[in-house]
Amino acid sequence: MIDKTRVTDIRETGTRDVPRDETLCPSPIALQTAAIDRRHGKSAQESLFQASSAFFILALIGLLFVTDLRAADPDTATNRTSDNGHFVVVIESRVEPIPLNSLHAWVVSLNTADGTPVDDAAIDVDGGMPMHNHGLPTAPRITEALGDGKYLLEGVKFQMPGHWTVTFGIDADGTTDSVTFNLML
Amino acid sequence: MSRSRRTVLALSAALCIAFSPSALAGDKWTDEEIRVLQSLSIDALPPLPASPGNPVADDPDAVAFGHRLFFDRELGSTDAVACVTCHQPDRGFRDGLARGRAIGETRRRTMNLVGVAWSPWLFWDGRRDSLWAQALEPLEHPAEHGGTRLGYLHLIANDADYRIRYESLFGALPDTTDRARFPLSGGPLGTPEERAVWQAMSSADQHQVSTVFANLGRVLEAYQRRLVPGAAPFDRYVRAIVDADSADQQQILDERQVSGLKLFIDKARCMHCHNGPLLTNNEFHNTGVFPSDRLPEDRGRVEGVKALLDDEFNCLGKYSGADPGACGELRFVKSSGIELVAAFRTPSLRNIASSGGPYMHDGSFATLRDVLEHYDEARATLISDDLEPLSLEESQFVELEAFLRALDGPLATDPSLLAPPGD
Repeated sequence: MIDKTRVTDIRETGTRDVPRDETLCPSPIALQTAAIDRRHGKSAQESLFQASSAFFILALIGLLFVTDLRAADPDTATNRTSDNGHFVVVIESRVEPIPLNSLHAWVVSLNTADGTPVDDAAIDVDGGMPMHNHGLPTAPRITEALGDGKYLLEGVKFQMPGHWTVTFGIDADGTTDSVTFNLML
Repeated sequence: MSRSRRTVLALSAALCIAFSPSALAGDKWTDEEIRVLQSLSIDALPPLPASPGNPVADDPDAVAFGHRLFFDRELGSTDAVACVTCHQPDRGFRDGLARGRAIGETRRRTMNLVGVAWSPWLFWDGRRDSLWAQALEPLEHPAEHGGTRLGYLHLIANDADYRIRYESLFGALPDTTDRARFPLSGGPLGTPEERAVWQAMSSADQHQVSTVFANLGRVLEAYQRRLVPGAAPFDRYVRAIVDADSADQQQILDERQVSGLKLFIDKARCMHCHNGPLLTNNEFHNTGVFPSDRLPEDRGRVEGVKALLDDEFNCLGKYSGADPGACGELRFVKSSGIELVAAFRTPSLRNIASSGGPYMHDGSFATLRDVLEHYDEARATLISDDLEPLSLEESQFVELEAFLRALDGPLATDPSLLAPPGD
């Protein structure tokens, strides 16, 4: 059977990241409501409560009408610290902008947290589209250590527009960590 | 709630609606939408990709040779089956059937060939990775041409025109007068008798015969690479948008088609898979085209990728001659994962209406409306969750179908290649 729970979880997680974005429109208006209320001599707490209520209602209205803003843009930084802080990883596509439906290569730079390049690491690659619950269409892998902490990642391909993640599992002399990058295509 | 607060809320809601991106877009296209439309336009089609294992892929003599082979009804064990039996030019190189029918019936629907040169994968399950390797399978398949490798060698050797064409492109044929070494019929995939004949041959002679066979695939590829889609009304509409010619835009697509196009790139989510200038990502997806209460009998890409890796004619195989560096799709192929189960290659939507139904890999839907209803329903597949119900309204079905008809256009192919050679 399909794991519907997992799908829902992913989608709910996506939704939980959303509020900041969905309030792009209502948020200033909620603040404006609070300002009006202040002029009417209401307490800051009361104003805040009312502003929050308006914020909530407008967020709902926003959801109904501003369907274009379904999800917040994920952080698409190409320079990230690994989950447990052991490494700083930088990705750079050899083809810019990252193409759709075309096999291409990336250079992955691996450094320790203090900036020392890490050679001889074992790096595995995984990824997919979290909102669609599927993986990458290819099996990309590191094919060459380029020296100075740089690695060639070949076989990268994306076949749909949207939000993708690419996760690297890193093992350098027994120190293991992972890091996930977001891409919007 | 006080009156002033209601007013503020109402005002806020009105502002929110007024400044939502959809309202701002109005009936015009946003810059982002225009970028998307351009990505789907035929003008975004890159030049023909290289065919790493085929040095004659763009040789005009190979095109002419392949043209004759494509229409030759003697290509196989009967005098009744040609490539064109199933790939009919006036039906978009399809046959109007749910299953291809030659000597027997094939397992899946006949695929369209227009624009096929741009696909890294061939067949519905991608079990071949080049157009030349693809062309070989039907030639030996008992339900299609039903021929054997040795039979094709003798066909070429005994036909003066074929022989000249072959030898001018690829050099001398093996000495086919030596029937002890090269019997008239036999191959690795034929009947038990034909296989026995093949097994009795030396591996060097087998290699020679298989090389000739692979070269027939290469000239068939050269011909099929010329089957290229041309500009459809949709493409002319995008040109008019780019040229900011609004009068032209209205003449090219009607209101329903424009609404259908908007649905196509947004709410109906067609672009997840039908993207790029050929409106296909040429990858594999399980879209639930089988009964939802049991696992599918046709396992699609799961079987396809196994066959691909075992294929002696693949990009890294002994008959390829390609630089391994040019075989990226095969080297980095995804060979496991639930996504491969019952997944089939996304077909191009160009000329989807004029080619006629039935649709899908198993020909299970007679009309485009049936296909749209399938994606609207997005029934559970037991395997993947790539789709969600669309909740389309009746008018939106009509609009989407009207748009799909705007993808019908003439081929950008020399018309002489669409008729039998010499016609």
